[in-house]
Formats: sequence, C-alpha cells, structure tokens
Amino acid sequence: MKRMTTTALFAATLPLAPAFAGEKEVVDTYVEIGHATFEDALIKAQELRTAIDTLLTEPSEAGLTAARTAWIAARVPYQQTEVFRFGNPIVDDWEGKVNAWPLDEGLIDYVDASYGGPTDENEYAALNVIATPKFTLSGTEIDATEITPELIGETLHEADEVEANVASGYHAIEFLLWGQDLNGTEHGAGNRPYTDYVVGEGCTNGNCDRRGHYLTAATDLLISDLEYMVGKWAEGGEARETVLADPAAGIVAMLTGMGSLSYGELGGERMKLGLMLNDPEEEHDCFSDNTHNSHFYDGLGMRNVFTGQYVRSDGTLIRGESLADLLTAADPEAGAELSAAVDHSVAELGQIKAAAEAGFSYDQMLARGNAAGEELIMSAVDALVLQTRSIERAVTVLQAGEVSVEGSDSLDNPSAVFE
Amino acid sequence: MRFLATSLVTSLGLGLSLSVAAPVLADPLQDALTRAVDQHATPAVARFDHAATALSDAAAADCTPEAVKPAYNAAFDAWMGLQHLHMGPLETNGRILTIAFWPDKKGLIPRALADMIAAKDPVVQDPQAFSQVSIAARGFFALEYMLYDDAFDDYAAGSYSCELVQAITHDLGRMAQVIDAEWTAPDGFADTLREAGAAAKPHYLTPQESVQALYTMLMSGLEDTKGKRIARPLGTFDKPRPTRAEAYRSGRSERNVVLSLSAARDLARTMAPGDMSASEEMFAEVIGLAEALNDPDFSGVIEPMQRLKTEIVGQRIEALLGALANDVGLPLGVSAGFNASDGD
Repeated sequence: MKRMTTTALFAATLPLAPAFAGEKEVVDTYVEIGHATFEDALIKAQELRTAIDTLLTEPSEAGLTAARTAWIAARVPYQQTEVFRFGNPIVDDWEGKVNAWPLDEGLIDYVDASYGGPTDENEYAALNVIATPKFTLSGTEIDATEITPELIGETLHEADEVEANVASGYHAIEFLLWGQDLNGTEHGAGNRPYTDYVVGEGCTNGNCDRRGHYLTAATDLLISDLEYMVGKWAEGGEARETVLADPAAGIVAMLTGMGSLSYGELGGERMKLGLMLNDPEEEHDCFSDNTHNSHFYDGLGMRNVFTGQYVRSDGTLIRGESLADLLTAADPEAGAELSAAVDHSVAELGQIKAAAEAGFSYDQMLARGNAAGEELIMSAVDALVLQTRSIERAVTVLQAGEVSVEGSDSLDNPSAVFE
Repeated sequence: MRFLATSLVTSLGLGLSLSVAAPVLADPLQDALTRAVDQHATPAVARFDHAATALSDAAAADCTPEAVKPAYNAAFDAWMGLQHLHMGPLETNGRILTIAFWPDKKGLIPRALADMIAAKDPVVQDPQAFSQVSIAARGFFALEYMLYDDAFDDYAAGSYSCELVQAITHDLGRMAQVIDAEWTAPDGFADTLREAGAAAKPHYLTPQESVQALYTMLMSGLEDTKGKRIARPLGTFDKPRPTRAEAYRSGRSERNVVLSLSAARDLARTMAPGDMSASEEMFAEVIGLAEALNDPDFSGVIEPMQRLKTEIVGQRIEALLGALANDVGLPLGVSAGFNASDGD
C-alpha cells in the first residue's frame, strides 16, 4: 500500500515550462504546512505516550479510556499529513512504518477463535508475538524475549515480506488499545479490558507484562519515526529542500499528492473497496471505529494544501499564498471548479463523520443492504472521483506546455533494452 | 522516474486542444478518440456481454464444474479485453471490482463463500439481493474457487453450492448486460467519450480529456500487468509466491498476461496517430516471451530460470511503456492521469 504507480506522474520541470508568478510563495506555504502538520502529529504522539505510561503504571478503566482518547486525537493531525504522501517519495517510502493497514493482528496478540490461523498469503497471521518469546521466522530463530522498537521495526514489521504483518504504527497501537472489534457490522468498537495490562494477579488473557512492553515499544517507535519526518520538513530537511529547490515540480507534487490520495487511495482502496466487501475489517480504523475521522481528516488535509491554510492542533493558523490563488490566476474557471470540488468532498466526508458521531457507526454503514450507509459512502467516493478530474484539469492548466511521460530504459538509453 | 523533454509539436497540440471544441482541419485527437471507442472499446463491451450471458446460460443448464468451465474461460477471456477500461459503466457501482476482485490479500473470498454455504444463505435465490452481497462472494474469482478449488468444487446439481454458482454467473451476466446497455445507449458512455464537451452527458470537457482518459487506461493497464500479474507471483528471489498469481487455480495466470497485453496492443493501435513500429516490435517481443513461458499457473516461478524468464516479461513491459509514450502519448499531446492503482 505504499507507492504510487508511475502513471500518476505529471512531473518534472523543463526549461520550456512557463513560470507562474507566485509559484515560489505557494510552495513556501506548502512546506510550512507540511512541517507544522507532521510536528503536530509528533506532539500528539508524545501525548499518547504519556497517557500510555499512566495506563501501564496503574492500569484502570479511566487510564485505558484516556489512552484511547489520546490515540484518537493523535490521528487528527496525522491524517492531515497524508496529502503529503504521494507527491513526495520521501514520505511515501516511509509511510508504511506508521500507517500500514490492513493488518493481520494475530501476529501481535491473542485473537478470537473466529480469526482463523495462518492463511495462503501469510503463515504468520496468528503468530502472537506477545505470547511467544521465541519463534522461527522465515527460517531464522527469533529471540523476542525483550520487545524493543528495533524488534518491532526491523524484524516483525512486514515479517516474511507480507504486507499484512503490520507490527508497527498507529494501527498496531490501536489494536493494543482496543482489541479486535467483534461486533461485525453492528455498532461497537473493540472492547479490550484494561486488565490486559494488569501485571501479576488480575492479568487477563496472559502475558500482560509483554503486552505492556509491546505497547510502549510500538509507541516509542512511532515517535521516533515521526521525529524523522518532522526533520525532513524542517529548515534544511530533505523533503522541504527538494520542494523548494524546484517550485514548479513542487506544485506538481502538491497536485499529485491530492490526486492520488483522492482517487486510488481514499476513494478507492479505503472507501469503495471496503463498502463493496461489506467487511468491517476493511475499515481504516477498524479496532477503534474511528474511520469516519480518518477519512474526514484526509479530506481536510487536501483542502489545507489547496487553500494554503492549516489550523494547528493548538489552534494557531498557518496561512500563505495558495495553490488556489495560483490556479485561479492562471485560469479562473479551473480555480473555481477545483475549489468547489474540494469543498464538496470535505462536506461529503463531513456527513459521514456527523452520522458516525451521532451513533451510526462506519461499520454499520458497510453492512450488506444498508442503503443509507452505501449512499453516504458512495456520495463521498463520487465527490473524490470528481475532485480527481478537477485536479487533472489543474495539472493541465499549470503545466501547459510541458508533457511529462514516463522515462524508460528504451528511450533514455535504447541499448539498455537489449542488455 | 525520468521524464522526456517535450517537443514543439506537443506544446502546439496542447494549445489547440485548450480552445474548446474548435474543429481543426485534420484532427488526430478526434480520430484517435473515435477509433479507440468504436474499434476497441465498444466491440470489447459487446464481446463480454455475449460471453457472460453464455456463461450464465451454461450454468443455468448445468451448474456442475466441468459443465461450466468452458463458458467460464470464454467469459474470462472476453473480460481480459475490457478489464483495463476503468471508466464509465465499468466503474459505476464498482463493477470492475465486483467482476474481478483480485488480489484477495486477506483470503476473504474463501471465507465469504464458506460462510454462505454453511449458512445456506437464501440470498442466492434473489438476484436483486445477491447484487448487494460482498464482492468477495461474486465475480470471476469467487466462481474460480467454486469451480476449481478442492474445498469447494465437489458439489452436485441441486445442492446449495450449485445454486450459488448459478447466482454468481447470473450476476456476472447481468452486470455485463448493464455495462453494454449503458455503454451503447443513445447518449450513453460511448457518446460521452467521443463527443466530449459536446456530449449530452458530458464527463470529459474536451476531446483531449477523453483521449487522456483512454491513454491513462492503456498505460495503467500495462502497469497493472507488470506490477500485479507478474510481480506478485515473483515475490523475491529467495521467496517466490506462486499462490499469489492471478487465477492460478484455473491455470489462467499466463493466459491473462498474454490477453491483457493483446488488449493493450489493440487499444494502442487504434490511438496511435502515426507510425508505432517501435511499440509494435516491443508488443510482439513481449507477447512472444509471455507465451513462451509455458507456465499456465506461474507455479514455475519457484525455479530460478523460470522466475528470471517471468521477470523479464515484466521488464519488457516497462520498456514498452516508454515506447508507447513516444508513439501514442507524445504525438497526441497527452500524459497519463491518475489511476485506480495509485493507492496500492
């Protein structure tokens, strides 16, 4: 679930490209928003870590609730960073560490009997690392006596080259806080008891100490991964400098990020496919039933990039010259069209969020034959598809005069084909 | 990621197309569009309708696996001529995903089928209700389990599984008919594509947008073949993954690669405004290489030599994309847009 296909590229600055006034200012705003959004994600992950410390020091119902609340808050800025993913390879290459999904959660901890065991695709789908200090992975003996960020990040994550072996990131932590959602397409999220973290007497489901270690290590790893990305968007950071070095290419990165997130990722993989499978496990935040928020903040993130403004987690407003300004100056009609499309998709995603928060949860919307849910989700998908067409038009307007096509060995170096 | 410098011709082409619906003397864009719709897409839509209807009829007459398999393969063949066109009636209601839900990374298909069979879910008796069932229990890949997988294919006429097979095939036939109807109707999607901004139900504002959409399908279809049909079973050198091959249960993995390449060639030929001999050579080469694999279900990828040969097919597709950009995209002044696989 990581990489955009190369057909989505419009990129490259060529000497012939017309320079639009304001490109530099627009990408300045973009990198500022990028840095602030990733930094907010980091701050919120640190707050999550504090809540988890409290939970583990003195496990209680209230402590678990507080940790869950912190996780949901942490998702708000993170989801708004997703618009930076597809246009910036440095983000796309990294994203799988922090937001990989869907997962075979039986890799990590105990699961219900209905989960099943190893599958065709994944022989470690039910490994249960928390209950298994030593095991063999792809022919190698693994000592997991100590659960560390390194073990999670380097050995367990995508173990056996299986994408569903998600050992790190938000969704692994989500599983450890909520547990499996066994309500199917009925209302209700995962219901892990806080006693899963009571060490010694009162521990439920076994290995409570190891479960706590896993939760801590996974959260530490998330924090260090986010620190890395904040650095990439800070002054002198690679992601920032790449964009600033070539504003015209930066504009394309902005549009690519919006288009690929709208269409293939959010509208397609996450929303339409899940609906068509009627499968609550295809919810993006399936353990916590927070999917409505994850989708909404993806949409808001796209609007942030387009309008050049971002409201930080502490309420501070970041604002600057925007892609909307640039596009409108070049072609008022295209600017108005994309503005309307972005507002419309945020409104449609907002309707899903509103319904879910009023008690019609996202997994209920996915149920077979649930017409209201299907209508809500498909309206948002349609809005995202429409938005993609407007983004393609914006690309044409802003890149008129340059056509980029995919490079290949055959063209760049004809002899390579026959090597 | 490398990019070609644009030519003066290209800039000119774009400039012209931006002046909406201005008829130009010889219009390679409109010609390509008309040919691609009339000679490539519309016939493929009709072929799939006929083949899927025949499959539905065959299963209605005799639902047992051996009786259904020939029509199943004929319908799947017809689908391969169409499956790259992620647009219009094929996308409506997620029909592409429903007809061909693959890859099934979490093993949802066997689970959904087993659940329905265990519960004897009466939904199979109601076509309208069946059209609301999870796509894991519908389409070619659910049917493939029923017809070819040992866990499912041992059923008799009159059994629940028999009814399920009839429900799946009927549903496929119904979708194929609806696609055909919506495609060819007056002011249908064929007109929407061809007439662009002048269409009764406009979706593309200019012929250039229609052509760009078709060009995106051409390129992303080939990328899917390379990135999924070839790359998934290849896995890594140390761990090839033959059971990740597309339709390996029915031994169609190699055939689907060949047919998808042939469909891409057909589309490219209708679109290319001039000489495409470089692309023709590469199509001939890569189709020849794919046919020469002689490995219907790609189980051979566990052998290093065979794995290498399969990998080379993928590399040649990559090279072909470059040739097509030169022969089709550049002279028409279009580059590929966003595609459905972006999020993978």
